[in-house]
Amino acid sequence: MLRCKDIAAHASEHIDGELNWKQSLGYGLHLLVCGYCRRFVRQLRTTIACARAVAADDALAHDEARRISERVYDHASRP
Amino acid sequence: MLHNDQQALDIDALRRGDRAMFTRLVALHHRRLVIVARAIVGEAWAEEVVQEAWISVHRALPKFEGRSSLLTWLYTIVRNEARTRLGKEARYVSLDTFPENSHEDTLRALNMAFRGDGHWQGAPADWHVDSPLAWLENTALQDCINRTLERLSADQRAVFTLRDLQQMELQDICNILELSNSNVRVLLHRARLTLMQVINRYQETGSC
Repeated sequence: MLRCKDIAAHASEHIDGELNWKQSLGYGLHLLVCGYCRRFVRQLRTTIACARAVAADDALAHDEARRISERVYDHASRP
Repeated sequence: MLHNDQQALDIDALRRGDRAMFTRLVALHHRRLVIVARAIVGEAWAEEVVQEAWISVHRALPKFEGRSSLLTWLYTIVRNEARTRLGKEARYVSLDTFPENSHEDTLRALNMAFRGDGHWQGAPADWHVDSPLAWLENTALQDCINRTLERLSADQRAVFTLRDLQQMELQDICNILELSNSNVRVLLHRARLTLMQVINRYQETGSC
């Protein structure tokens, strides 16, 4: 029987679908009966979603991107 | 403003050499490519490596056949450019900006949440809200998350960027960073736990 500590240690593998069927079964059974672990896993998912949303706006400013692009095209036009 | 990574990226236009589309490609991916280059070659050379990689990308785009995704292809070119640079430079300066004991602190804090028999000492803190979109209205928390991302070790940040931001397969990440599957999993889990702990602290104290 998995302990809560094991659930926390393997939460990323659970989220990423990296557990094999036997591990998944044990993991799922534990989550069924343990509200604390369900909360932990839910919060880890929320963490990932938050970080993804915050980091989504990390594009370079257009001027900066254009400078890099110009350098690339200049380089390409050299004989 | 949030954007979708692949929004308005026309691969045929890129292949034809469309300059505006190439500029858009640079805008969308440059920063994340630098994060990955940093994990391979260190802070000092990362920006330069990616600038060089863009020249290779531009040269190779007409021949891009789409056998791998554009993302995997881009990161592979950066990886190759970074490896070439490593070969030229005699030394590799690792610039992990997050002190190693901070990672240990994260793990210790998690371990302390459990009793000797491996069960929770008490309930994990209840977050006020579980909806990421609601969180985004909170700029102070956004700053906390951004600062934490910047302070992750270079390899943790690269793995987190490739997996959780670019949603790349673990095997592709292993190939790009030349790390084993188990190493990638450990780095990813530690990065996520560090971020989770920051959000937890913010929930409890209102600051990072």
